[in-house]
Amino acid sequence: MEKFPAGGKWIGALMRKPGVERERKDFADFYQRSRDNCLRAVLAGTGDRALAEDLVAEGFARAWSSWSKVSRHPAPAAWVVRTALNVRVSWWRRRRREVALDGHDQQLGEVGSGADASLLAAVRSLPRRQREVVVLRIWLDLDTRTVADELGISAPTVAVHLSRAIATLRAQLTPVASQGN
Amino acid sequence: MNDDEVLNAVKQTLSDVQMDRPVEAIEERGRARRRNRNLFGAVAGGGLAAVAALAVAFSGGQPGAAPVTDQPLAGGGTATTAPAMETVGFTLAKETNGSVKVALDPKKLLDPTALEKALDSAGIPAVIKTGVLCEPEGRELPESDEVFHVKRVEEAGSSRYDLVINTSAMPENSEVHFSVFAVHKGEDFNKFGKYLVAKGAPMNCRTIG
Repeated sequence: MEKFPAGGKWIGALMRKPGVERERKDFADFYQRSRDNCLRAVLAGTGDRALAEDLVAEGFARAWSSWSKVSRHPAPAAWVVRTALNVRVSWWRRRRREVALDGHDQQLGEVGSGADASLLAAVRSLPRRQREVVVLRIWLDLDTRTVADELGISAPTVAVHLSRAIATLRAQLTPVASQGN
Repeated sequence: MNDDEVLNAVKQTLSDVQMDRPVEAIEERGRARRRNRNLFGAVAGGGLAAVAALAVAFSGGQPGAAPVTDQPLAGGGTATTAPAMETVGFTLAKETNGSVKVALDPKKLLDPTALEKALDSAGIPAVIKTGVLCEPEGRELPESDEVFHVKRVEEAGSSRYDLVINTSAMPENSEVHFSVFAVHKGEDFNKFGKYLVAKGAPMNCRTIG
């Protein structure tokens, strides 16, 4: 039979464990639920599959390393996407000096084809704010108020960005749709 | 098309894209990040001396001090250390214009000491690190773009990237600093970070993957 040590150290550990396990389960559920849409959102902004996967993995890893804070965020998936897109800038600087040894990146790098590729290119060519609004709205399904909070702008401004972005994308989509007919 | 139809059409473009990285890998990366954060916190609390000690520990062997060997310039070689490494995992070749081509085999373990020696024999002072990415604390030397060239090589249905080092463009008292690392933990070394820096320049190294 095991003896309990003197003092509260062991008891403290026993009490902490369920909390840690619960955190892990919460995070795992969140990851399972959000990972695909986060990847799609970041991929729409970058156009590079391998880079997007790495960025999203980094975003989720940072979320996990600060899970007590991020779990209370009103839109944790948006936090991950924003983090991933912010990390992109510093990684771009780093990756200029990297060489893929086995073409690993290139094998994953192709995204979409034909009409899909054109449409994604149109998303990427939107002005930054419009692109962010579109990405958060489409792939994370956030409402206008939450997008506004996430980007630190007003709800009417979000509506204006979204409206302009949709107009641009519609212009891109219409010829594509008519080509398909 | 109304607004919802436009948004839906855009959404459909990536509907088959899925993130298949296991949550365990994400958690491990997050834990490593937390550990690093704690480490940096401790270092900051320890003052400048601790930072200097850390930099020395990370910078590894003294550049240029590697003994000259008769490592063949072309055709790779055999490992002289660490019995677990069956090959050195690289090939060096001198090109007609005097440049040196480095080809790394991502499927084999790289012996950094052997590569350092081989490069030294080819007249290229080098520091090689594996499993970490090292970046200069200060700025990279401006001649870097002239010194490094990357060649894409297609062979047997797969591609790889060879690095060509233009030794004549390397300024005096400079050295190349390479980091070979896996992007994802447990995979082969499949990335190669390269910098041209002043000899002995302090580098920041961190674990990747």
